[in-house]
Amino acid sequence: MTRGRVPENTAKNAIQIQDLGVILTDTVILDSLSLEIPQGQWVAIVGPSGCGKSTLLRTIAGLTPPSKGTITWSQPSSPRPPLAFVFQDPTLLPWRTVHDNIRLPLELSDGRQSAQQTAIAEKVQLVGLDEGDMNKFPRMLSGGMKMRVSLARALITNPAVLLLDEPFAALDEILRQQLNEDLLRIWTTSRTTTVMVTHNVAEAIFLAERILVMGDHGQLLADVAIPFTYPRQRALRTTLQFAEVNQQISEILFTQSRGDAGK
Amino acid sequence: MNNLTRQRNRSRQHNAARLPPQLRALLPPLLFLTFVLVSWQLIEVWINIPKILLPSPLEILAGAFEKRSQLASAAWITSRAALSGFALALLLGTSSALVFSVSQLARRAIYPYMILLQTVPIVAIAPLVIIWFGGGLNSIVAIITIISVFPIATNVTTGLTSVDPGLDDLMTLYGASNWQKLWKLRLPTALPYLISGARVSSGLTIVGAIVGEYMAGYQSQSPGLGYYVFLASTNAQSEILYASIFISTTLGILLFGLVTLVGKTALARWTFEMEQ
Repeated sequence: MTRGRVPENTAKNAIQIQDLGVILTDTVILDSLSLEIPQGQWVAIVGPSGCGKSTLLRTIAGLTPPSKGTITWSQPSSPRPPLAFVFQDPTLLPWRTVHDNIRLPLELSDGRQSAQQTAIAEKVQLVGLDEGDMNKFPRMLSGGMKMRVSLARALITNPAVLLLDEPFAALDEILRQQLNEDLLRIWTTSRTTTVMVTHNVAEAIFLAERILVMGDHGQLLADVAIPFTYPRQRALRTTLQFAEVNQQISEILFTQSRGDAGK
Repeated sequence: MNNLTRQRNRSRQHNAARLPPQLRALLPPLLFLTFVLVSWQLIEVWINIPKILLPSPLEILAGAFEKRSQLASAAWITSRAALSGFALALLLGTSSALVFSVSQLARRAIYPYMILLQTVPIVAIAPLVIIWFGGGLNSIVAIITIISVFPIATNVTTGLTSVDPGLDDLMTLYGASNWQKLWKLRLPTALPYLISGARVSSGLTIVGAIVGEYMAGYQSQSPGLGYYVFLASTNAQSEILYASIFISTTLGILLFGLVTLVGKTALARWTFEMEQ
């Protein structure tokens, strides 16, 4: 997904984005965005609706073509390293069982049958599903369970980069926090480079080590390093420092939206 | 009433209440049908309408019983033609839908005419078909195919082109080839549409078969129900005419039921329920 001359990705960056622009049906969605995401980092992108954060994620995934700029990867072996994308909807195939939904990426890539069975069972357990859920169809699952299946499917390829597009936005708050903690537990052991888009500032602070606040057309308003170490516990959410970081980021967002309203 | 009878009555009532909902839903229309047939018979007895105008249900039954072997053979011939035409319509409808789903140009150029062609009356096309294919089975099957192909083609085209964009993105992300997308995403998505198109078509096949046999059945070695309709109306055998109508209607309902059953079995794992 590179265009023009490809600059060398010299640093230990998993993803290096330079001067990226995306125009969709004559509307500028992203205008000249540059960004580096180091290997193994969890980056959260927050910003108002329509600021282009989901488009950025889709462009990184190769689902939306850029109109200018480059995206380079640390592993230039293939066009891009194995990616996984967790969408806002669970996007499960309704005619496939949980097991077959999780197997889909393996089927599409090379169809190696041997190691699959144990790998699927392992991921099912990892995301907090029961072995007994394997033969269920999506319609038999709750919203939270569907999301867990979606997550297991994303992890099945052991991706080099995990892209999360507001994955828990449709869930209730308690379920959302539970899934946040589960995801964090999984990430702490794998340290997969993760880029997550969310509306929820608290979620972003709890999960990520770096938060990018995005304004209109993908303009980066702030790049905030989160001062908490991993592993993080639920109690972190109630600390004063958490509240301060939350306020700092919310302030930037509010200032931006007030500025928009005044336009 | 002794204790045993009372118990039996109670268990009978209990059984009626425990009838499966599908059967319970059948009860009112069956009761109404019985009411119509009984009233029809009684009116015939009281007013004495000439048989040629309106035979009574018992007269139709007697006439059908007399010609039972011919009617049974005709019903078989009609079913065979209907099933052949239906199979052809499924094949042609699905393959044209596949072409439309792959080529946007073909869809834009041809699809509107497919929709327009549905409005051309089959009775007007039938003579042309007979000129092309001659009298007999070929023409009959062609007429059945023409009348029943459109609902399948249009439905499957809609199904193949209305894939959830999120699922399409997912397939793209994992590098699915067009063939993999078709096989693993588009066809399964289109299956419910195919079944709903096939249900509409299943009713039309019998219409096509009767029209075809009515107009082209004279050359068949063993005539179907449509030819019996033609013969009975020219010979003023109204009880045979009515019997043929009832049998062909029953065939239509049976085929519709069969397609619905196959569809329900195939879609058991899908999330949505089929329409009535």
